[in-house]
Amino acid sequence: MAFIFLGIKTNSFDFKDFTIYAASAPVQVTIGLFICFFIGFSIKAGFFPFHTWLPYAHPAAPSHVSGVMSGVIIKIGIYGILRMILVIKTDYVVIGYSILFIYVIYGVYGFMLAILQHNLKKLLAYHSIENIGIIGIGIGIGCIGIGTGKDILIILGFAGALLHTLNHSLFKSLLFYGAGNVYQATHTMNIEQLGGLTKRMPHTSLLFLISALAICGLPPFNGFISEFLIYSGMFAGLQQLDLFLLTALVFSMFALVLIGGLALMCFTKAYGAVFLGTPRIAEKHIPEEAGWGKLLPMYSILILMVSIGIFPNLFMEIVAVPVGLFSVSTTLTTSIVPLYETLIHISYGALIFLVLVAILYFIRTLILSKNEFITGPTWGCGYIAPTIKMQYTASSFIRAYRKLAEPILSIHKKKKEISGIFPTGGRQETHPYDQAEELMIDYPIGQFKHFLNKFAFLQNGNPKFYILYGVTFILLVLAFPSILNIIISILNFLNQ
Amino acid sequence: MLSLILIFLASLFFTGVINRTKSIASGRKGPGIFQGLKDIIRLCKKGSVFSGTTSFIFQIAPVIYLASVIMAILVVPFGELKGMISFDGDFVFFVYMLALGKFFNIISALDTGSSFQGMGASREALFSMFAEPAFFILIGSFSLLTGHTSFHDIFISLHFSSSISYILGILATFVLIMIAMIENSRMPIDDPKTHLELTMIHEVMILDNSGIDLAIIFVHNRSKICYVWCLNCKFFYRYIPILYFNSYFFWGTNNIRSYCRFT
Repeated sequence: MAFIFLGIKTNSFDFKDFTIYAASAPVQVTIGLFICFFIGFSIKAGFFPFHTWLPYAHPAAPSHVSGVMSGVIIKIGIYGILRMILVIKTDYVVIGYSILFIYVIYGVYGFMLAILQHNLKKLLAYHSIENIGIIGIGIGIGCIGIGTGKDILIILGFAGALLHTLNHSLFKSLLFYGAGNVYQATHTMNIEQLGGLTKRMPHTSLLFLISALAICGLPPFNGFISEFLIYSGMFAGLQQLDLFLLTALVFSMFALVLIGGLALMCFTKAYGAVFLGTPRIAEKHIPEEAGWGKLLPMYSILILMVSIGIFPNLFMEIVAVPVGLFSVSTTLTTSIVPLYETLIHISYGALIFLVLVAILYFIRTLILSKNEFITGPTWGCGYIAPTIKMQYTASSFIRAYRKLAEPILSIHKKKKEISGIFPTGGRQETHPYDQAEELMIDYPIGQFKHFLNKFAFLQNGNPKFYILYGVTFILLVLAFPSILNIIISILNFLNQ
Repeated sequence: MLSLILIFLASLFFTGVINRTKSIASGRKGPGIFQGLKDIIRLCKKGSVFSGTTSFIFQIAPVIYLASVIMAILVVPFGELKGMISFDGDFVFFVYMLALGKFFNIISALDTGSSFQGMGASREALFSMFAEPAFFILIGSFSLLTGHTSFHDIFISLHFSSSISYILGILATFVLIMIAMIENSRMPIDDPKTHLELTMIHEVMILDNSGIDLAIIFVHNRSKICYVWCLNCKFFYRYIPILYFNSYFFWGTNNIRSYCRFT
């Protein structure tokens, strides 16, 4: 709709003409245009509240397609939004605040749902929603920077958003490929039925671990660099004296840290329940490691991720070019130099950490080789009959969190209580469901269906009625112009 | 570099002092002050038992845990000098480095496939989810006050500003001690003495580690207590750059406070 509007107004579909038009149009028109574009691209990118297709599409698609879909296709929606920000010159401060506000809620909400999922791919799909929330926070800060004319906000906000787009495509694709390997080996995506896959699939386990670390934003990987840039943007924004901006930034900083903490919980659950411990359901066949055809692309993504994490300056050069398009002044190259220095320190930190780990591991192995070590069963505080069922399941891992989040989300729980002096058994099932989806899509569609059901008598399966409908329609179509003519002549007669 | 050495020296007897004070306050004689050090040396001489359920994660996790806390100590400034790693926004690096250590601790606990470790891991994930934003808002508010984003710059500005920064320091100490109680498994959040599953977070996650791994984890736990106090001192002291005396001065208040918590 927005494109049609602009096309009519400027008589062309060229972006340059759009820019010239938008510069002269009144603010309400441009904001309205931006909202239309935004909604359009949001549905593509999977933003709240249009995100409901994501968790259904990702698990249904085959894994390599899911990887590309999550990694690349969603980003096209973000590319569209960024492009539109450049094209439509409007009141950026308002847009910046609204984007920031929407994405803060969106990121935290996406995460709150992601933690509760049982299906591994659905968990990753909801997590994509949350990462797009982080990208949106970066874009919001950048937009506020454009609106208020502060160069440092623009650089950090957009650089963080763009770098996080790249990073997210890398590690989310890797996670989906890993999940695909798991599915092909075990034929189930239910976390509660998996477990102990590290021993059988060591390569997949290592790749999944490193991409889980990267997606939580932990150093020395690339997720930390992009989150660091967004944090730096927020702190640079804190130096301004605008109270509204300060409040917004403090809340978004709190939300971003909360997202970091939730990420820790989510991915320890995902990695721990799938790969570690013992298998929770007796395996029908032994899962095998994926072949080299599947592992080779995963390793190449891994090398790229680690190199962004340890040498971010190289990638900042690439990111600086699009960021330069957004800035209002021409002093971009001088303002970005302190950023490079900070990133060099992070590189040093990452390298020191890796060297330190190597040294400590060497010392440990040295001491370990002097003493003997034996293998035994896991210590169960002296319990003499351990079973697989004693292991912590994924649902129990997040139970404390679920109790906190229960009022906000809608969780269907079936529970059979243990009763009697000699209890026979208990049972509990929890199924998380999307509250927003319930409110915004299920409820209106339910009402609509209810309304349409009143006309169900029309479809009664009797061919005579259908012939009647057909004949009535043809008569109406033929008779309508003549009836119209009669009405017009009567009106003319009455007017005279 | 000096701060690293001094924090390790302080960690040797800090926990010993706390335990000794606790014991004397309950009417017992208690272990010696250097018992912690003797424990670590004893564990290094012992062999290990590894569970058959565990994998490579269990082997590398204690090392990464300790390395993350060493990196975090390198960020903390020392008196008037910068830490070895100091840049704008370094406290983000600080928090996320500690989060890396926690991640590995949690998955090494899940690796054993036991219900005890799973319980501890679940609680640790939940509590660190709450503790991280608290620390961030604390340092973020100081960053807002002083206009800098590096630990070193923030503390230098605090030291040279007016006396009201001492009052803010007291408030910050209050928050930092609450966070420290969560991170270091102190009462009333966690009980370092019992090994019952109802009262534990950190102690239960390491139930299966033995030998050198347990020694590494003990070194980590003690260093963590020390650097939190080091941060605490940074809010107040301007003229005494020697960390050793700082932490020595504060152990008294720490013991009194931990005594109040324990009873």
